[in-house]
Amino acid sequence: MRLFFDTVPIRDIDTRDTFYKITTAEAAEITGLSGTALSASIQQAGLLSPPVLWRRPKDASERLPENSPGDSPNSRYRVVCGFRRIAACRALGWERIHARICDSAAPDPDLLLIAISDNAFHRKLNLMEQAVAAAKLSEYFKDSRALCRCAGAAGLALNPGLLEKLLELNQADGAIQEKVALDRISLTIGLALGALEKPDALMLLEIFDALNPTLNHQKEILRMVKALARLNDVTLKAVLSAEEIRAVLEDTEHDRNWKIRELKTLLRRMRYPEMVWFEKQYAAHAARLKLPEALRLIPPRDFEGNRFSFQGDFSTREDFTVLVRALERLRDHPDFIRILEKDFEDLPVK
Amino acid sequence: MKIDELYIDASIQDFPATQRICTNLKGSRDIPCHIIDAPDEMYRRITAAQSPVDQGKKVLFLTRNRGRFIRQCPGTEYYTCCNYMILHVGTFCTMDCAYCILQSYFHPPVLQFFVNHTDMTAALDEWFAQPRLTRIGTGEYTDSLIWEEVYPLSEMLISAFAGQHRAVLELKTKTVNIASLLDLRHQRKTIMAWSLNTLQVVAAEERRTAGIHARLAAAEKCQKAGYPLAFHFDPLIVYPGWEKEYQEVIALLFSRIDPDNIVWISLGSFRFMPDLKPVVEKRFGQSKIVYGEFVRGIDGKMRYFKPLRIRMYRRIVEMIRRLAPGVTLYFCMEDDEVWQKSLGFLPSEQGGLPAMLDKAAARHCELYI
Ligand code: SF4
Repeated sequence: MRLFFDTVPIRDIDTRDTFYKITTAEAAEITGLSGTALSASIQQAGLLSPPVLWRRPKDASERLPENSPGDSPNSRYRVVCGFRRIAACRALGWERIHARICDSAAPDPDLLLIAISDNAFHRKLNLMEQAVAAAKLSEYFKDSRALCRCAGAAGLALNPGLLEKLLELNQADGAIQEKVALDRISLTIGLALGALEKPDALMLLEIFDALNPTLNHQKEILRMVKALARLNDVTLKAVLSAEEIRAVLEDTEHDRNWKIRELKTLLRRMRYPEMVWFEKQYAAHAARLKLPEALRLIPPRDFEGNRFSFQGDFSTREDFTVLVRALERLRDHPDFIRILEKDFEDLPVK
Repeated sequence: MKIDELYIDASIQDFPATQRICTNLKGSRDIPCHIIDAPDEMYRRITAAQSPVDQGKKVLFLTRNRGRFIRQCPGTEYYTCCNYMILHVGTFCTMDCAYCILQSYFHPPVLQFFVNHTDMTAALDEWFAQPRLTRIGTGEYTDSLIWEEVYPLSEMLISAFAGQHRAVLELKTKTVNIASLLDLRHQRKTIMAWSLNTLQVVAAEERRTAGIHARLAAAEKCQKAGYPLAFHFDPLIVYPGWEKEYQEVIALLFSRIDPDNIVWISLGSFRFMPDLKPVVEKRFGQSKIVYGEFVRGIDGKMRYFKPLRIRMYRRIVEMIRRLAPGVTLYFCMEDDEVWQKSLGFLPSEQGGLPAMLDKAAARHCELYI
């Protein structure tokens, strides 16, 4: 591929042809560098890094996408990288721009790799940009390992597993893509939502966006909602539209942490009614033991085993005596006996 | 049974069992057959398939058992194990149950049938010579009767066990492939056993298994042929309406089978290693069984929340005891708390679970040391 510098008329550049574009609108939002700021910077310091353009062949009609509007009837150049720089220069009223030109024989995958490295070596590409880049490259590479190798050399670190996920993300709904690009949801959650019916996915997306729970909380919520939907033969949206859940989500009194906690509690009660009922019974009996604050009764994990334990804090003999007396009192306490027997009321049958 | 491809370990291609299976399996169909020195490429192809489990159910590998034929059933320390012995005759299954742990047990899952039967017979002879009572089954890593149509392995085993008095063979199945077994001389040293479940569970979660009525009809025939019987309510599954439906199948069981001819009935609630869940979700899209109220058990397996298990066991025990008060009931892999709360006694009070089952086997199958 032959590359050379030239100064070309801006009107000859077709900026509507986004064949090599991998930058997303969200990237600008994240970097915080607006078009105006970029224009100002260029005006002050000049164009430090010239865009890369591909010069269309003289008879370009067959390589132009159908209905390609071009910025002028003479659009001779397709942008490989530097869309925002060109737009900024245009906004400054420049008529000509200094650029690196790739000759018309340059192969598409090479130009794509230039576009990727131009971005990737300046800043970290967001996941959606990585997905777009991966999808575009995958048109030319049948072997995923070879693709990962070339992308890596261009500054985009991929492995076959990640590549597969990025290609899936590239197919997901635009709203999901946007939130992944903005890092409001993780790739894992984005893909999980992408696999759902659109109305279900969008509702969950809205909730995650509004509450911004941790990844683990998002996973837990998603897992419970999916299981409830399956168990009750309803959509995920229907699960989330239950009156109690809506009341939490629409609450205006409390903060997001309260809402996350309440949402999880409600979902857990719906998903694990027996367990939650049992835990409630246990808590009620344990409360009646009136243990001093420094002494804690720890039940077996999930009540599966039979070994209970105590944890006690003390620093003096007096503290210790208080704990020992409290333990003494427990021996014949009816609630303690029922706790050890795990003998609680059954969940009332609806 | 639909086998699409046959692989034969080159070292056993001339074995009589291999020849016979090939002839019977092919019948009128032309099944591609590969003689191989090493199974790696076959394993690779199964693993690379879209669904290795589905692929593995269509490929039969005739080979030799290179390990021990008789091995201990893999129990865990915390839960009470019955000291069952496995006669390792093959792996995997042509039927397809949503809850089948074998889907995530073998890597890759592949139907193997071991044909080095001379080694197997030698292992059995050695085993029979030891002065102790044992219970041995073939239905842990596979179903005991899936290969009856192509090879009379059970016939061979029933005859071998009939010639001794220290061990009992349990053939555990969800098929009705018993026709060839009815006239055999078994000396009550073989227990014919069926897994039972509710009609809904069988219809929704078990593909290609025989229906409950058919299983009980087959059991009835075996009873008439003098075989002692056993039943396994395993996995018990909690779903809306489970009580009524288990009640129905228990009533059905005792309407056809004499409780006095039942050596034991086992109860086991659905439990699975966590890696089975995604397999079930993928392969059985409509199944709800993995969405129960499970917790991670002390052995790492997911189990129903214990109070829920106990409640379920209590009900099932009540239902069975009402119709068959004397039948030996036991739990597969449960702890003392479950035993005490559901059956009202601890295995240790009866000398331990193995002794309890040995006693039942000795009584029904005329075993002695
Ligand atoms: S019959 Fe048994 S071995 Fe066969 S698929 Fe069902 S559970 Fe698995």
